[in-house]
Amino acid sequence: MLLGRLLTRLLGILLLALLALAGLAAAVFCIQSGHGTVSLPSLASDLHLADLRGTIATFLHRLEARGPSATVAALSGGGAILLGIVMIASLVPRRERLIVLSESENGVIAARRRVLAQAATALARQPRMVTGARARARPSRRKAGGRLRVRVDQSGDSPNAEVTRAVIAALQPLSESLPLRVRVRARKRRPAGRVR
Amino acid sequence: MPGGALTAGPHRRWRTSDDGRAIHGVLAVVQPDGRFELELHLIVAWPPGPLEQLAADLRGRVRAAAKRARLEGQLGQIHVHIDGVAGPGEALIDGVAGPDQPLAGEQA
Repeated sequence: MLLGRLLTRLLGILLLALLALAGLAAAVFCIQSGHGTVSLPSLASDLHLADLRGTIATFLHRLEARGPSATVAALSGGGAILLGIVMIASLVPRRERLIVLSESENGVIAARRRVLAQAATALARQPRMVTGARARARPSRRKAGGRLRVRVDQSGDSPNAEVTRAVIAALQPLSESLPLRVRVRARKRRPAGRVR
Repeated sequence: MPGGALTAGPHRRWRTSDDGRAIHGVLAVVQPDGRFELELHLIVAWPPGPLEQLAADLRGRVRAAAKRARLEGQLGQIHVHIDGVAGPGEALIDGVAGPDQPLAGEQA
C-alpha cells in the first residue's frame, strides 16, 4: 500500500505537470489566428496530429474488429480499471488506530481506539436506566486526544437529559484525565415483547 | 503492577529477547545516539482508572529500575501503548509482569 501510494502521488504530480504544460502551450498558440506561426493549426502541424489521427484511426478500426485484438483490448481496459481502483484505494487515508493521550520528550502515551471505546461502552452501561450502549473513539487529527461518542438506549420515562448526565458521570474515570471530548446521546427504546 | 499488565499482543509480537527468555510487552529499539527507545504494551485492569497516570507510573518504574541498574544513560524515550482493557471479572493473565509482579530490576 505504501508503494502504491508513492507511485500514485508521483504519477499524479507528473500528469498534473504535463496537463499544465499542455494548457500553457494551447494558450500560447491561441495568440494568432489562421495558420500563423503561433496558431493552433501550426501547433497541430508541429505535433504531427494529422499523422497521429491516421494512426489512431487505424488502431480504433482494428479495435472494433473481432478476434485477438478485441480480447487484448478488453483485458487491457479491465486491467486499467483495476489499476485505477487500486490507485484510488491507496489514496484513502488509513484510520489511525491509536489515540495519543499525551506526548512529551519522555515519550508518547497512547491507547487504541477500540480500547477506549470498549471501556466507554462498559462504563456507559452502568447507570440503572441504561439498557444498552455503544461507543466510538476517534483521534484528533492535529493534536493529542480525541472524541468519544456514546449512544445509549434508555428504558423508563426518565428524561434524556437525566440519562445523559448519569452516563457522563459514569464515564468520568475515563474522561477526567484524558484529552477526550465526550458526547452522549440517549434514546428511548421500547422494551421487547410489549403487548398492546 | 497494580492496574495493568504487560502484554505480548494477540500474535505474541510485542516482546524482546533477553538472555534466552522473552520479555513480553516490551519492544526495544536502538536509536542513532546509542540509547534504547522502549515501547511498552499494556492491558489495564477493570475498572479503568486514570490511564495517563497509570502509564506515567509505569514509565517512572522503568526509569527507576534503569537507574538502579546504572543504565539510566542508555535509556531513551519510553512510549506506553494501552492495547486492551480486561473486562469486569477478568484476570490479567498475559505478560511476564502480572498485576503484583515486579519489573526486572525491582525488588519484590
